[in-house]
Amino acid sequence: MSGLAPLAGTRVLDFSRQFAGGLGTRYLATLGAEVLRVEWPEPPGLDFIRFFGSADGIDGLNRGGMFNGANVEKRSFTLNMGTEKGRSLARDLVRLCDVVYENMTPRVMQGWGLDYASMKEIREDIIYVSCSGFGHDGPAAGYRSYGSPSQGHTGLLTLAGLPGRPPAGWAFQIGDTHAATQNALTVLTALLYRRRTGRGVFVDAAQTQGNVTLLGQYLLELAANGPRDGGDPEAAGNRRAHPRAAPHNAYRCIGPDRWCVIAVFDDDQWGALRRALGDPRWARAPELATSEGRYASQDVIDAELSAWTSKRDRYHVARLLQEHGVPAGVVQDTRDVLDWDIQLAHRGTFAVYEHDEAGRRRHETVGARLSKMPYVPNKAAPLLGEANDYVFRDLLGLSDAELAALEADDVVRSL
Amino acid sequence: MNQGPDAGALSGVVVFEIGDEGTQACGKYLADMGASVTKVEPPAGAGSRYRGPFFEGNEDPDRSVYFWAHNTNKASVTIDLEDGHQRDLLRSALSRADVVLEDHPPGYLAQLGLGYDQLSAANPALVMTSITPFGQTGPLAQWKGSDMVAWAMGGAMSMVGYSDAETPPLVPRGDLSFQIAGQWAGIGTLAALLGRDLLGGAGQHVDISVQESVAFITDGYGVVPFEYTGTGVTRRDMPNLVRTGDGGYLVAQMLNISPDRWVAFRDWLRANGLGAGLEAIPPAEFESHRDLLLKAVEEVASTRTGAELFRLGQSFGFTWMAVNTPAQLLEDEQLLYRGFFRDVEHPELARSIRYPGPAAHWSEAPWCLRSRPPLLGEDNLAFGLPARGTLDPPGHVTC
Repeated sequence: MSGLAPLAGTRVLDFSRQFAGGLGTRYLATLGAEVLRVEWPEPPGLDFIRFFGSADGIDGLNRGGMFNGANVEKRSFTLNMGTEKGRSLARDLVRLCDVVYENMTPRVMQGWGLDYASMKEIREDIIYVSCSGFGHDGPAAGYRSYGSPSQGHTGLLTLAGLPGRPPAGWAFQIGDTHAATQNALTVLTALLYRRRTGRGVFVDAAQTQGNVTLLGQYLLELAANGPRDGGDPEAAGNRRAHPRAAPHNAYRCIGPDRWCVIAVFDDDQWGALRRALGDPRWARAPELATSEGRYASQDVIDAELSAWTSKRDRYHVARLLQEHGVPAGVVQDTRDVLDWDIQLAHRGTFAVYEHDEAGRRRHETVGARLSKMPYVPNKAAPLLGEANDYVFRDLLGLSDAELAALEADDVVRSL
Repeated sequence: MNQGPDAGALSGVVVFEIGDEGTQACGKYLADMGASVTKVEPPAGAGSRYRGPFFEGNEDPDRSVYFWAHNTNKASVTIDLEDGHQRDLLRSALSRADVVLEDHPPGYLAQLGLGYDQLSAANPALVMTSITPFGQTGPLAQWKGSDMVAWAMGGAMSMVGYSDAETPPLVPRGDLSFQIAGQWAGIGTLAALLGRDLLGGAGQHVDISVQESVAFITDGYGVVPFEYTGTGVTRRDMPNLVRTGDGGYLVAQMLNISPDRWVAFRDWLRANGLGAGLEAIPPAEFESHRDLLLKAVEEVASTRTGAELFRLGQSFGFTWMAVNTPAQLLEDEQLLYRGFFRDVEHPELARSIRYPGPAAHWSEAPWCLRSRPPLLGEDNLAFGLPARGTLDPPGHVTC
C-alpha cells in the first residue's frame, strides 16, 4: 500500500489461519492496516493453505496460491506459541496493536492466556475479534468447521439445485469469503466505536451464524407465515417467483459449455427483448403480454429463447440485449473474468503481485473503491517469517543477543 | 441520544439510504449497529415493498416479508426526487448527514443535483457510497444488472451446478450478490468515515460494483488455480454428499484428521459392525481409500438424522455437517442457545415476529433490533413532509 490509506496507523496482530481467516485481515491490509501474521513453519502453527494451489504444482512454504492470494500487503513473523516465552512475546505485541484477530476454536487463545480479559489488562482499548466456527458458547462451541460442509450446515446449499437432484455443487466457499467480509466490517465498526468512546470491545463472531444471516429472508418468511403449501416455488433452478420474473434463466450459446443469462422483470424489459429479437411471432402471443402470463409460460419462452441463443455467440447476445435495455450477461468463467472482461479490467479488479518465490501472479485487489484513497497494489504475500527483524528488533526493541537466544530456544525461527 | 457502551457501536452516525435492493443490506447493517438510517423512498414506496412473499399473503407495501428482512431499524420518508421542493428538503437534510447510500444508475443523481460533487460542496464531510451493477465508470457502467446477471458476469455462476454437461449453470436464490456487495459497501463506507481523520475531516465517494463483489467470492478457488497451475475450474457435483436417515443430505467431509482419530473411527465402525472392506487397511491410509470410506459413512448416515451425524462426526474430529433447511435452522440448538432469533414487535399487526439476528456477538455496544422495518412514509411528518396519502401504483421492481 502506498499513498494515503484509510487504515494507515492501525496495527493488527493476526493469528488467523486458512482461507476465511486470511481473507478477513487481507481486506484490512488492502485498506492500509499493518497486519502482522503470527506463523510457524510446522503444525500446529503452520497455515496449511501455504500448500494449496502451489505455483506450477511445486510445493514450498511460500508457493501456495491460496495463501498468497489471501495475504497480500501483510507481514509475517515466526513465533512458537507452544513455548511460554513465545506467549509472553505475543502479550508484549498486544500492547503495540489496535486489533487482535483470529479464527480458531475458542479454547486456543484461552490456553495461551490471550482471552479478552487478559488482553484488556495489557491494553485497555484492545479490539479483539474472534472468528470461530460456531462461537464461544453453546453446545457446538468447541466444534471444528470448514467452509465446504459449513455451506450445508448454514443452509446455503439449499439455495441452488434442480428439481429431483441433490443440492448443486459450489466450486468455491462462499461461506469463507462472506465471513471474511463480515469480519472485516466488524473490525471497522469496532474502530469507529473506539474512536468515539475510547473503548475497546470483544467480538465473538461465529462463521456459521454469520452465514445463516444470508438466508434471512427465508427464515423470516417461515417465522412469519409458517411452511408454504407445496414448498418454495423458488427452490429450484434459475427461475424466480419474487418478483415474477420471466424469462429468467441461463441459455446455451455457440461453443462448449457457453451460456448467457436473460432476466426480464417487467413489461418494459419484455418489450425491449421483443425488439431485440426482431419481434418474432411467438413473442406476440397475447398470453405473454403480462408478467403473470409470461411467468406461467416459461417453458415456451425458454425453448424459443434457447433456439435463438444457441445459434449465437454469448457476448453478442449479451451486448445486443443490453443495447435494447434488457438485463442480460455472459456466464463468464475464470479465464473470461481475468482475460476478457473489459469492465473488470477498467476497474483494476485484478492486479499482478510480484512474489519472490511464486513469481508474477494475478489476484483480486479490493472491493471498495475510495475516490480519495485509491488502492495501489504494493506488496505480495509475505514469505514465512520475513518480518522477524521488524517485529523483534524494531517493534519490541530486542538486541541481537536476545534474538539469537530466542532462536536458540526455538521460540523464533529464521527461514 | 444514548451514546454510551449500551448504545450501538455506530450510534450518532446519520445515514440516508436513497436506494433499494443495492443499498438495503448495507443500510440494515449500519442501522442494526446503531446508526440512524433513513430510507428515502419514492411516493409509492420502494420497489422491494411490492416484492413477495407477503405476510399472510396480503399484497400490501407494508407487508412484504422480503422488504422486512432487509430494512429493520430504519426510518422511512417518501420523497419524489423529480419534485424540486421535495428535493430541496432532502438536500437540506443531506447537508447534515454523515453517509448517503445510493444505487441509481451512474449519473442519475448528479442530473438532479444530488451527485457526490454537488452534495459534498455543501457538506465536505459527507461519505457517499454508490452500489451499482458494474460500477460508476467503464464500458459497462450503464448496463442493466440483476442478481443473476452479477453472478454470471462475476464468474461465480459458471462454478455452481452439476458435473453433467446437460444442466445449466445455476444462480443461488436469496439475492446473495446484493448482500455481499452490501458488505463491501459497509467496508468502504466505514473505511471512509475513519479516513476523514486523515483528510482534514473530508469524506469521499465510494464506488461498489456488484459484479466485482461476486468476482471476489470465487477468487481463491477460481483465480488461484488458473494463475498458479493453469487449471480452469468448472461445475462439479457437491463432494462428499451422502443421504441421511431423515431424508436429507450430509456433507461428510473428513479433512486434516490426525492418525489417532482414524483409529478411533475404525474401532467404532468395528464395534457397530460397519465399514466392510476397511478392516484390512491401516487407518493412516484411510484417506487414500475414499470410496470405501464414503461407503462406510453412507451406512452410518442411513440410520441417523443429520443432527445426530453432526455430533457424531465431531466426536471423531470430522467436520460432517448436514444440509440444513431454513426450517431446521429455526430449530438449530446452537443458534437457539446463542439467542440468534429475536422477537420484534409489529404494533400495526398486534403481534411480534421472529427475526434472524446478528453475525457476531459484541461484549458491549451490540447489534440490536430496536424497531421493526418502517411503514411506508412513517417518518414523513418528522421530516417536514406531508403524511403519506393514498398510494399510487408501484413502479417496476429494479432487481
